[in-house]
Amino acid sequence: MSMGIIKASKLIFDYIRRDEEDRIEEVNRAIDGLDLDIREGDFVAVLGHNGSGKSTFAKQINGILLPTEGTVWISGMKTTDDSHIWDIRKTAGMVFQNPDNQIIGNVVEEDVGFGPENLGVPTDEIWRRVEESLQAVGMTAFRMKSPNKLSGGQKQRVAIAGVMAMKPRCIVLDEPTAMLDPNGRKDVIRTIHELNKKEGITVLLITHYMEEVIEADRVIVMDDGHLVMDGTPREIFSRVKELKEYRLDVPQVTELAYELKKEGVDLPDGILTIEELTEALVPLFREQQADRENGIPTGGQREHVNQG
Amino acid sequence: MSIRADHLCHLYGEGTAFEQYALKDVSFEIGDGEFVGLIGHTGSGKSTLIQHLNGLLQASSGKIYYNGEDIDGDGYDRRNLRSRVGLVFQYPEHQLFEVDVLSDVCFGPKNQGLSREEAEVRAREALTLVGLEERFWDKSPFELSGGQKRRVAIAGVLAMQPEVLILDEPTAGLDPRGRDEILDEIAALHKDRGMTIVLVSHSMEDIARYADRILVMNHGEKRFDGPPREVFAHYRELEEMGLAAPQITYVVHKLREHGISIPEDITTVEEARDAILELLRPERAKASGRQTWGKAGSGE
Repeated sequence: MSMGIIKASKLIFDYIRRDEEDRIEEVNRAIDGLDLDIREGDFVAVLGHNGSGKSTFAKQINGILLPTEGTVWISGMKTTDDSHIWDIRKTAGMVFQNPDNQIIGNVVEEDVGFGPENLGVPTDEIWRRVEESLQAVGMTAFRMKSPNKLSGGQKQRVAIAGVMAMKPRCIVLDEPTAMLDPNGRKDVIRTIHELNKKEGITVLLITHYMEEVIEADRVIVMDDGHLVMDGTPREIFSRVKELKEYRLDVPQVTELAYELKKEGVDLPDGILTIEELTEALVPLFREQQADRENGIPTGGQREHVNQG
Repeated sequence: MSIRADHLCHLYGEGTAFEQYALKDVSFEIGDGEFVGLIGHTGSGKSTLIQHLNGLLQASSGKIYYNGEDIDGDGYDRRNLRSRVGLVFQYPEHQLFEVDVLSDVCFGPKNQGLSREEAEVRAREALTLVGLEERFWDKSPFELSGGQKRRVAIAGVLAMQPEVLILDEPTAGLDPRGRDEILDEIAALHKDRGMTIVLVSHSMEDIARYADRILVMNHGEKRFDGPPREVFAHYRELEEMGLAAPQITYVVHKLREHGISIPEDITTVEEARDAILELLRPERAKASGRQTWGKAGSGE
């Protein structure tokens, strides 16, 4: 049986609250029967509203949380198997939302070396990895700087380098850009795409920014602990109404195309980029203009524009 | 009523080797009932600036006037200023601490010297304004979702009944619907109660949709100040500052590059939709008395 790098089967996770006497006070089901298989090398975006279960799922991937029921395998290893927990954490690295909570070193290179040092990697090898990881995220020029002098986006790239230095096969990023300005956001997203393409690292990106999702290989949408949508960005973003029901959104260009289609303008489904939208619109404008110059009333182009 | 910044400067590490301007000669006036968007990259001085507006930070030079009064003047009641100019910090839910939601929201007004009963009246009103249902009021704030906690924190400031509400990235980390709900509630405070709003955000789309005016900060200086359509027309300069225009602005510019004469100062999805439909269906626009298809193909 072939199995992806991350596989969940009938996964259930309950947050259980207990009182002082250890009696169960409240049970909150965060994940409710999740089946998922992620192929090695894919860039997968995970969408879902606050409380949909996506962060809980992320924490299952490197064993911070363990299943209440069902199973999670990372590269074939069960997360509940104690003897594999370090291998699992080496395989799947995590990056969180707030860069300030993840950086510990006084100097950038020290921070990046912390992970491999903890794994008992020999010193020479640590330095080699620090070098490579900083290069991979484009932060080599900052290696001797103090992390607290960096911008948010730079700090996040250092945090990613720190994970890279542990040579993971998969990186899970839980809203890594939520606290960044537009430039910092762009840099971080570009960096993870490069790691995915050049190093073949599997990426699981959890985000609320729809624009960050359009270049993913696969998008999954979670709601109420279930997987409710699964497809390419184009397939997912064609389903505007459904996404909104899950408290999500689409990029502005997709929204504009959707609004125009509703008014009867002839556009393809699931437009994702500015280029796609302009390419689809320009011929319509040209035709309209030609008709006008030839004195044809615009009603004549009903095949493109439905006069509501 | 207004907030006026007059040649405001703020210097960190004054007199040391690390001396650095966080704010440099910033002047503006925010009038009563305005909705101002404040944008700038990380470290541009936005957060420093808003902390001057309610007297949390003191200027190195320059003045802040609230309703014409110098807030650093002798005998000026800065404590009172802080309840008139309410400041909601980034991730304000990290500051929740009380045992239940209602008590948490009561904290501000009680600090203002109100009795528990009066404070509760205010708290109930504030929680209703931010749209948090009553069934959550006796819960621990820590049991709530991210969006709900954010609402409680905003209610905590609203309960002090400020005239001006300043919010530092109130939607960071919220899902799209949660973001829209919070911003719609802020817009309602502005519209229905005439509250002056200063919204700090990294989302150009949100700023374009809600603000009447945008202040752009860069390296401690004010770079642009005007209505969204004017400010976002400078999108290339904004990009150089690490900012951007809303995605829609780029669509419009791309169309213009192809010679489509769509107005270049469009910043929202609704405006773009209407303008495109108008161009594609001039006779319908004519019927409604609006401008028709112009000099197509001759756009610069």
